Amino acid sequence: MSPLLSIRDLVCSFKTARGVVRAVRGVSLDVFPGETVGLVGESGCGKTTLAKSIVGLVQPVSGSIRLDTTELVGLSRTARASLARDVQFIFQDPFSSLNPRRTAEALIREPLDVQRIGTASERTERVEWLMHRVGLRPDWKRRYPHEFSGGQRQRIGIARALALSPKLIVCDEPVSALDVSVQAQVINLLADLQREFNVAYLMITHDLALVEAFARRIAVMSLGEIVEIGTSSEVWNAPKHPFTRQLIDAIPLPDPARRSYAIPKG
Amino acid sequence: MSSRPMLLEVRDLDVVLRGARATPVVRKLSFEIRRGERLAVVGESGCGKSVTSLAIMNLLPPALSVTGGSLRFDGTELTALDARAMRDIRGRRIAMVFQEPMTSLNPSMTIGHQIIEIIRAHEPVSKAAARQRAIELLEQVRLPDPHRMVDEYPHRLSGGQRQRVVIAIAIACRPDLIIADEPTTALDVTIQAQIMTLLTSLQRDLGMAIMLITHNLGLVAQVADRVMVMYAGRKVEEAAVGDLFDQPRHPYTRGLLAATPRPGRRFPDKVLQEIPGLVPSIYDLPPGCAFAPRCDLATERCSAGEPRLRSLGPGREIACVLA
Repeated sequence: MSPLLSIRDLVCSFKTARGVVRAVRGVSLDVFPGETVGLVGESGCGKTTLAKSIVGLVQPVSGSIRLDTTELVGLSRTARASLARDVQFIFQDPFSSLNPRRTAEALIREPLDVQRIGTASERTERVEWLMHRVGLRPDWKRRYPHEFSGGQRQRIGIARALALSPKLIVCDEPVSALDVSVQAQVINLLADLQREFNVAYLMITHDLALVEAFARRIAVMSLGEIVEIGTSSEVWNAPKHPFTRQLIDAIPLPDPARRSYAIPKG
Repeated sequence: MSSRPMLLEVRDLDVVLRGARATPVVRKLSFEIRRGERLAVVGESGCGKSVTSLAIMNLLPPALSVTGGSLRFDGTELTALDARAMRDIRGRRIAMVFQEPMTSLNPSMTIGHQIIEIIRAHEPVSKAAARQRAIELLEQVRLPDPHRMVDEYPHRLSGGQRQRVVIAIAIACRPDLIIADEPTTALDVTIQAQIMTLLTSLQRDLGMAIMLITHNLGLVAQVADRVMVMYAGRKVEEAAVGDLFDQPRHPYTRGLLAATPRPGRRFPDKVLQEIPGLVPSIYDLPPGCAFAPRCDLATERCSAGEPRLRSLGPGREIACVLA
């Protein structure tokens, strides 16, 4: 199988007051159709910059990002716009990523309007179907984002990302703003939708334990480079890079009998 | 643990949100913390865990007020204190560490200045002596080059370093109790491990008690001696940390534990075990047990009346008619 997304030697940098910061330093990564790849790292490692470069929010300095056969680096805005059908984005904080002055219906339907898909009534029907599919009551479509809970808002974000039946959704910390019990609901929903629509996810997160459960493969990023990549169980059970080891050791295990933290006895 | 002297005794605490109708936010909450003990308070957003800590500190926002119950700290009834007497306790005997170190530090004051301020607010020492103490405190929280650090502004520090400064301020007057509200939620996992290790070793060395407020059950397992689980403003379960993780009794506690990702654990047709539904709104609590609408085991009995909190042996309590 050939990869859906193929990133090669990608370099992204920013000019700052203190000089040029190389946020992504020669990253290569593949995502295959229908799979989930977890991209894990700490703040400032370049994972979000990498994600943004895939959806065109950051212009890479060099390297290549291919989606199927299309080269995304250097693509014109108009050419990129039609690619939105294939690549969508889910953000961390569903509150700041949804326009507070638009109803759930308007938010979910926007991609369909922009891409001029179907008639007006078909779009409305599609919105209701999407709302139902992500676990929102379709009769809430006239409500505004603030009338929904955090988990429900993230479902709006998911419905919106799903509206165009994309091949790839880049998810940047999609559940880290949510409560534990709601996190599980949203992750399970993403997994169900993947089975149903064969959508691939590139999931950017700091939460290695979560991604171990959710992703098929994990890429670990540090200081702008991918330092390790493998299947979830390989990376978790036999980490090869010292940084991966360090990340795993730092995770507080929910098991008081195995205290890995150097916590003194009470 | 129970042989240690009592430090904080909360009895039947009621906190309400004022409005057209008073809405209960914390209901008949009772718990205690003994000297040197590490109590974790666990629950999801809106369960009342942070409100409880603000009530103890007498720092509730104007819309919230304590309408009943007692907060007894080392023999003193906190609810009866005037503002001045409370100021003397706050910061000196009970200190707080909040989630976001950037917002709890003053961006326009040097770190040293902020530590000196708290020392001089509580103790009659000279500026020079307080500055010397500030440098020692920065050393104690293992910040590099404390002599230089003391004159730095918060924005020059990383998130982890800022939280170390907040901890230095918290321990400046050797408090008996530190209330840490999601102290590492904004930090990377490796930094979280360092900060929690620092906080707990200081806690032991200085003989302080910690009330750790968190949603992270991993942290609870690593750090706590005892755990109180809250749901919709009430305590639903309390146990020693080992008992809680080995034999969670309340369906909510079990649900939370099952929903926490644990590497290697796989479910047949889903990624994680979820708790269905949503946390109820405080404006619209279901009759009877607040968790019943989300509970697999719920029967008619559960919505008949709110389950009484009952003891299941020493240090173990539960509010569920089924467990």
